Amino acid sequence: MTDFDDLERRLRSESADERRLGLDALDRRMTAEIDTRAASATLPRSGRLTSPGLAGLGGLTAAVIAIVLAVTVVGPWLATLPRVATQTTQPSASDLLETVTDRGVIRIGVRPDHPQLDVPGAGLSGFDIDVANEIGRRLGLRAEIVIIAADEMGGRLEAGEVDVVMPSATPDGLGLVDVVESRPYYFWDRYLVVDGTSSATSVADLDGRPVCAVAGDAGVAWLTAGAGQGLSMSVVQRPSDDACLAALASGEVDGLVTSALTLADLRSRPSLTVVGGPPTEARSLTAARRTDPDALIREIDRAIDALRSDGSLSRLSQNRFGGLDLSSPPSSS
Amino acid sequence: VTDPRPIVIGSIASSSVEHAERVAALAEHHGPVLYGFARRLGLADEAAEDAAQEALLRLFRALLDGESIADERAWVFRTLYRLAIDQHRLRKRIAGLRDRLVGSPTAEAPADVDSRLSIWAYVDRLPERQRQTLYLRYRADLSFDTIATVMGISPGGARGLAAKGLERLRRQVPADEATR
Repeated sequence: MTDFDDLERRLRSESADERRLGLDALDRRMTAEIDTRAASATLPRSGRLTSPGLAGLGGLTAAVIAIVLAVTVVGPWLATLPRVATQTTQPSASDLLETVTDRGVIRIGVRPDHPQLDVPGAGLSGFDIDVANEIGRRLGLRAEIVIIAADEMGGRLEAGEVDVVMPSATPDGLGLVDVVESRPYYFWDRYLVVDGTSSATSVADLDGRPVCAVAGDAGVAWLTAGAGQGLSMSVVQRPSDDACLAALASGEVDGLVTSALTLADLRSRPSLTVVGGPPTEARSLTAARRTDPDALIREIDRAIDALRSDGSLSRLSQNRFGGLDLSSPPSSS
Repeated sequence: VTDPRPIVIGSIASSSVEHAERVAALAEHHGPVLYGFARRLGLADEAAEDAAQEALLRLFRALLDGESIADERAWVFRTLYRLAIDQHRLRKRIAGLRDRLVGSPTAEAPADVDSRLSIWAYVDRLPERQRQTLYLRYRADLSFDTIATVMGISPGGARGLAAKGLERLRRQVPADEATR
């Protein structure tokens, strides 16, 4: 037997299965937190910032300043922190389901733009965020929502900063390669529309004429590829649906392919006529194949099935898309 | 439409740097002990590191949210304690994924030569709360008042757990080990 003094001395001095934490992973998570807060605070679609110091700046300018500050001030500073060579917490060869279950958190990347929007006073919200939280709840995990610009999703997924992403687009259109997709949780239609006074009544009627599409959207690729009919349209790219609508109104183009507008939105604009459109796009959650995501994706599929069968997915869709249920493909609705 | 939240972009960035610096300093100085405590809470390897990092990240979020935290180190230990409890509950719900709940960490992790010789190899065979209390007292160097806050017990209870743990150790540690 030993005495207390010696015991206490040894308890204080001897190693007890300790190791230094990997600061790289903590850096990344704090940086992501700052990015998320910067994005959610300053990416309004219709609101504006109220800071006196920023009163003279437009929302977009303020957003750019915030992101630049986050990237140029905080990012480099974090990069100067001491690094410790130790095991990181990135998902690697281990089963992704096991990783997220151990963590108790599933990190889901969603885009800051459509189908999300900034609700004044409540921050960023939207259909993907609603579904992400529901999926987390059904899996018994906390969903950590990470706001990521669509064109950065591939890199952030590959870096292990998120477990899955909701690109709300076809993965290959965003450069998301070597990924595994869940079952679709909603189905998105784009529409080729013309002014109500136009003589065009079909897609073919716009052959050889200028048609607008949103830059970076799949509508551009559809038009460029001949609109599925071998047509040769002159593609005019604009940054948003509103900009395309303005181009149509000014006569600059004879038609446009919608990106974020729903059929409900178009119904509120009786001056427009739908003459066709690209095939329906099925939208899914996406994980990097290298993270061994099959088991997690199967669980997500089950969660989506459950959300669809109990009507939750329909309700969420109707709540966010002007009463439309986009949870099923058009042919089955 | 006006967003009623007062948003000052410059202050977001500058305060973020300040908070990140404090959290990074905590991770640097107390990370090994946070990891060690997570191990005494029954988490193994990567799960222990993840939990320690999550506790630190939650501190960062709390600071960004403007929470007033008097003792950040105690706050992180308390958060880590709760995270580990939550993880145990989650694992109980998901049968078959893991078979390591609240047992001795040394029983599930392969003990290397060093840990077999360490006094902590004996501590890790003590009842769960005794080993956690001893760890917080002697490795994390927390006061009994703080230990009580972390574990949700009274200071007297924390002292009692530590005393029982020491008493057991005194009986179990061989004399030749004690003199090395």
